[in-house]
Amino acid sequence: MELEINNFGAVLQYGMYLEQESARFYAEAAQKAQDGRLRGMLADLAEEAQRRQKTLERIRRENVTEMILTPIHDFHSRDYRPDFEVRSGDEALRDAAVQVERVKERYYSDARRRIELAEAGRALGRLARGSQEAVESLAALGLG
Amino acid sequence: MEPKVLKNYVGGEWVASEAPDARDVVNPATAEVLARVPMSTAREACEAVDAAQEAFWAWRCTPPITRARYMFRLKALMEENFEKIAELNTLENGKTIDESRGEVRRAIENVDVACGIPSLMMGYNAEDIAEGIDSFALRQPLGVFVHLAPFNFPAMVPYWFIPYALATGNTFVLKPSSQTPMTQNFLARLLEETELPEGVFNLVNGSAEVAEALMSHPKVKGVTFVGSTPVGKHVYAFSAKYGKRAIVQGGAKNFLVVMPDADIPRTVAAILTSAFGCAGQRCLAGSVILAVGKAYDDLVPPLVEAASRLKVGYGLDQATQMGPVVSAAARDKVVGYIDAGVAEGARLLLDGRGIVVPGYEKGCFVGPTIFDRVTPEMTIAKDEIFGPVLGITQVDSLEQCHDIIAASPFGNAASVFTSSGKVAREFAYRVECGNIGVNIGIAAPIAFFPFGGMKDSFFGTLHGQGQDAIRFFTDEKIVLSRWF
Repeated sequence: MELEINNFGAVLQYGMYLEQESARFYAEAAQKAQDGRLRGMLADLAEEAQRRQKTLERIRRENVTEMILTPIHDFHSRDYRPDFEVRSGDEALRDAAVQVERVKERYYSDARRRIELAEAGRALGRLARGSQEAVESLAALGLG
Repeated sequence: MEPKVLKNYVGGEWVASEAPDARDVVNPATAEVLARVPMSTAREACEAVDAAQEAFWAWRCTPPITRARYMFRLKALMEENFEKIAELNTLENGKTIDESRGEVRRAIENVDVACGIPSLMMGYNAEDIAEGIDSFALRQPLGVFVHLAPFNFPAMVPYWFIPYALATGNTFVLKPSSQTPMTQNFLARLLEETELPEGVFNLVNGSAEVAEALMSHPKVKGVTFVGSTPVGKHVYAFSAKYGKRAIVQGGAKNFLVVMPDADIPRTVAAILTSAFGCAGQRCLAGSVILAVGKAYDDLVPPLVEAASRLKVGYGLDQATQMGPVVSAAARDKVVGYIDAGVAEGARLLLDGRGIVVPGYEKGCFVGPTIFDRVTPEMTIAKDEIFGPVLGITQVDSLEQCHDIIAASPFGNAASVFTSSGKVAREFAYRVECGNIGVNIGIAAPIAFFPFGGMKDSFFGTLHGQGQDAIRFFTDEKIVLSRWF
């Protein structure tokens, strides 16, 4: 998805796209994983991505008001494109998941700085923290 | 495939109009015909009023807490269908999808407020107003109310009235705008889904014939209208002639005063949204900037630069920042005003005429347009353009701003951008407008405040939204009682 993220709705739409693709990626990756703990973690991340998509929808529904239709500049989806290819091998799957969450963490952190509305900013901050925690959990997982 | 003809909703049934005439509902970005709206007859309008009157007594006797539950159900359905409503709104009106989402949110907020009706319509009492005599004041619903809706906020504006009217125990007949009827037709289906008793809410599509039949009907207690000032004056006179209470909101010409001590980057952002949001088709749109002293030099270059970067396009494309105006006729009218501005000697800094959006060549687009050297006697300084056209007048003092604003026949909104509390206070104190912004581009009252308006921008006493709406849709009855 190519999107010039030039308004509040676009920030959230791209976030929803990231979560939708993440959910698909994690569901496929969970099926390929050999290690039981990794499989469980990826399945949890797939569910979490679906939940996050709903959170973003709610933020958009509740916070898009005329007051915050202010244009946003210099923000583009091309700078936040995770590689969603599902590879073979547990380490490759884990590394791919770490990479996906790192991009999302960066995206939500950058988006938060561009949105002045505190309520939406807090929610984006929570999403960024969630991605950071996922990275830590994945990294701590000893494989093999 | 033939576009479908919209139906009327009367007495809990969706019925096809008997009218031979129907108009196209056109997507202003693509010129696609989305539906056809029947020009219903006066007889059909009267049938809707009869259905509403029939339903009134039982609904009026329904406890407020029960009526509130219908509002809660309506809110849930609106949240559930949020994107669908916003998309319909963009399809028929042209505004961007985010603007539509914001509008739907504002509509829902009015339902939120109406959910509190058991408290909101409470009366008051006093013991012993004379020896052994108590007195209490009740708020009671009146009967059938009517709303005649504008095209510019198809989802929101009717909801300044409908939730309050229904929650207070009245029944309702809505005539949506014939240019943008689809959103309200869909919302009527949600109201139906709440299982409101038959006849409590009714919708009749049409134009002036329906409006006049509704306003003159002896069973109608009150009329609410939002639209242009000339039509508003007619509606107000008509309502008075037939003895209706009325809320009539008319046109506007909103001034944005920029003081030399304003925060320029934030002011530019606020003005962009104010002047060009919804393609300038807001009754609260900023229309003329009064730049005081050096504010002119600080403001104009970044404002023109930012406006020139706004992405004009199809409202359903998420990256679009400004959509088309509502129709080809509206576009031609706006272009006519730009031509008039040039002819009368204003300097065109940014020209939105002739804009073509690739892929949407048939769209009714006008780009952001900015004039400076605008003087108060020019047409573009006086008329409500209702398009993305912003004039700039350089003035020497705040006092001069007050004089210019006072001379305008309109009094809908005005804003001041300043770092001075003293200036802000004086502005709010003196300016004769119903909605005042201090460092706010669109001074839009939220649902629990009334939507104001003064001079030729408003006719009536009470306003839509909040406590004013509760008072408008109820009558006070004073009971004095003594027991022997």
